Amino acid sequence: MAEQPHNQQPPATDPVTAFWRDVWAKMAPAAPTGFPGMGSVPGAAPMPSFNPFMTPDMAKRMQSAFFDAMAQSAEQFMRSPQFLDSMKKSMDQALQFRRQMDDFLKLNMAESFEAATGGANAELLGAIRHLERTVTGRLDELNDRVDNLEGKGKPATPSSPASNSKRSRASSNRR
Amino acid sequence: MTYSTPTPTPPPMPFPLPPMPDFSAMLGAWQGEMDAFQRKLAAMPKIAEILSRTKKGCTPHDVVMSEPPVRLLRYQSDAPKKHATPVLFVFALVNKPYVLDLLPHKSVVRRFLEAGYDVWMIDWGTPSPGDAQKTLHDYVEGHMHQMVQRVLEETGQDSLNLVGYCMGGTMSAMYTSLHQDLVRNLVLMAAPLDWSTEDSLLMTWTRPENFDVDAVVDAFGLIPPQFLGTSFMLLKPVANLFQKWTGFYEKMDDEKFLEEFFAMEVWSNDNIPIAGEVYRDFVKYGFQQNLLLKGKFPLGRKKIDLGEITCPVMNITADSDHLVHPCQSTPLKEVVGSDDYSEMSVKAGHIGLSVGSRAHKELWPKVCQWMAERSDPIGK
Repeated sequence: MAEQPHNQQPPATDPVTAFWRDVWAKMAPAAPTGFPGMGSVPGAAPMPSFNPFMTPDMAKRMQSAFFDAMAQSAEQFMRSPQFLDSMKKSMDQALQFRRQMDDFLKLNMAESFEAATGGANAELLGAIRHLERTVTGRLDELNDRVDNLEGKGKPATPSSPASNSKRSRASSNRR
Repeated sequence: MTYSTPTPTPPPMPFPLPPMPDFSAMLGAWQGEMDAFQRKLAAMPKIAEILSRTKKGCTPHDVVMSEPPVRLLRYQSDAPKKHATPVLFVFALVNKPYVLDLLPHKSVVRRFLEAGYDVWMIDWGTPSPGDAQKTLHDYVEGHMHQMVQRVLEETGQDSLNLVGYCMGGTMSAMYTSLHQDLVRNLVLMAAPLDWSTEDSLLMTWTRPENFDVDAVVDAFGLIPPQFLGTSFMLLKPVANLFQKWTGFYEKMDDEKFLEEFFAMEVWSNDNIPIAGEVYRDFVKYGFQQNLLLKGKFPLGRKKIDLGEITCPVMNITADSDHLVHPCQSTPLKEVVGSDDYSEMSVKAGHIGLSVGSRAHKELWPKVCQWMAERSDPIGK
């Protein structure tokens, strides 16, 4: 079995380690140069004067770096299977709770008080909607038949000759 | 003979000694911070006052038509009218449309009024449980068509300029493909038309294996505004929950900043529910099946064919849009039937397109000019 060299860091596999490593890497350039190991990071912004203490400007830069790391970590987390799975589970539970609540209200409260529930209203609206769709569908069929009788062939929206010519021009361009 | 004792040389240090820290500079910096904090505390009463006078929209308008909950607004202006072809704004169904008219210096509506247009807007209103069954077809072919016809009737024109924002852009593109003769120019602002990208977090969340849209719509009817608001907030949780407020603290003594901040906050928290059937159509046929660019998006008995759009099209995207990535809008050029297609992009986010100072300085004057070249002047 091959041994890992001691000076090589293992890759950060768990999100917490990865997050803090990212935070550290982002905050290092903003940190005071007096902090051991931080100010010496390559690429660090040069300090105006040596100062081992935190100034407001440094604090803001470190805060900004921390937020950047957090945002990146949050984005990665919200794409992870763990998050998606928990999102789906909590959504399923919320929907189940909602259905149980509706059923409970309908069975126990609404029937006792002979009152209408949201669910009952939705059913009524659904029935009206179904009726409306049937009627409009039938009207559309009649419209098609009238169009056919008039020789138009297919139901069309009223269109001006100008736009028709543009349309044929455009379609010929695409071809 | 004199002997001199040699001066002992100090042993070499293992590392160079650091110079002395600059205490006075450090204390001065923190003193400045304390002064700023005191100024911010003193500004507290002003904050409450500015919050209390925050309005929803800034330009006076008339309600020309109402089909509850939908209203048709016509904006008033003293600016001389230069263009006979009216402009109709169509906003998304998930928020209120006054983000297009937020503050006088951040109002897209005002930019068009100043450019001499007759400006109209569809306000979709707040749907009630009775509207839960309305489909996208009802909105596009029902309400929207009624409103377009009313605008044309009132202005005596035979076509208008349609400006659609976000989901309103998708609906405007659909409408134009069905009623090309009624639309003179089509302007799309961050309109999602292609859902094939994997970059968007919304796309990941709404994949069929992660999100059962049928179960959500069947359970709720109307999709609650909190559900949509939380989803949008979670797209950028750190920015929305932390960075926004640290930014607020930094500038809380700046009156102009506060006016803009509260106007945005009032708008972004003024969420409305969305009709469940519209949501089902949009998520299922758009997000999950990506049927629009394929010409297979069903709307009533028809299928939307964007190739039917033959009028001039201006497709505007925002570079840093996290809600509708530019790559979700630009594929329109591959399918649109128009031979006068243009694109513009601005360095802004999704909402920055309407309220960003860069957009008002660089984008909207160009769009107004583009539209002017393609609209009828007054008196023609």
